[in-house]
Amino acid sequence: MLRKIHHVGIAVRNLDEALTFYRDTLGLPVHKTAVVEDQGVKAALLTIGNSEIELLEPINTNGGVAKFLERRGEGLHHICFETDDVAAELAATKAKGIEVIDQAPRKGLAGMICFLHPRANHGVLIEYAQPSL
Amino acid sequence: MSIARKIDHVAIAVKDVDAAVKTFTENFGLPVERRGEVPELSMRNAFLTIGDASLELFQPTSDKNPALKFITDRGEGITCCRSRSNI
Repeated sequence: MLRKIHHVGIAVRNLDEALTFYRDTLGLPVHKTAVVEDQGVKAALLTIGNSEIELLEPINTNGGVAKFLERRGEGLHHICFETDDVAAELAATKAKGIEVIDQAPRKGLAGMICFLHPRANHGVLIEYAQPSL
Repeated sequence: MSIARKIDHVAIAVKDVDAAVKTFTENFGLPVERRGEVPELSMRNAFLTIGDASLELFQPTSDKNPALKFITDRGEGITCCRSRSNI
């Protein structure tokens, strides 16, 4: 079951610069920062209500976020739904014939995660996350 | 206290709101909160509930709505994330 919006991912060219708006102007507290090598990003998670804003700056030119920035510029990149069982959610999604990017859950910034293909969802990149306890 | 209190909704521009409602309800089991037409904004829309927030699927109905150009230029997708504010 999908419980809520865990976070909304936003692609930015410069994380520190983006934080001057999201942290300093909007006043959102930074909950976590990390470099996620396999996704080619450095990221900051900021708390907003029961959800988070995930700012993503590419650290190389090969990753999905780098390509997104090149094609479309900065902006909203994906929506992440929280689930209490990412493996079951992904299996149910695949059983419906929905195109996915990750065939199995993997470790991400928000816990165990997987991505679905935007082609299957009107251009929206959807992530499922099961936060670590 | 931050200015932005919570994510109220995420808006997604689509070519056909009925098709998009079908996709998002079938793919994710999200219930439809309300749907309608907003002539002054040249759009048809639907809100789907997810936790304490919503997804707004909206279909621009004329070029008075800038999202029509957004869809033409780069295809359907997320256009904005609206927060509930304290001010």
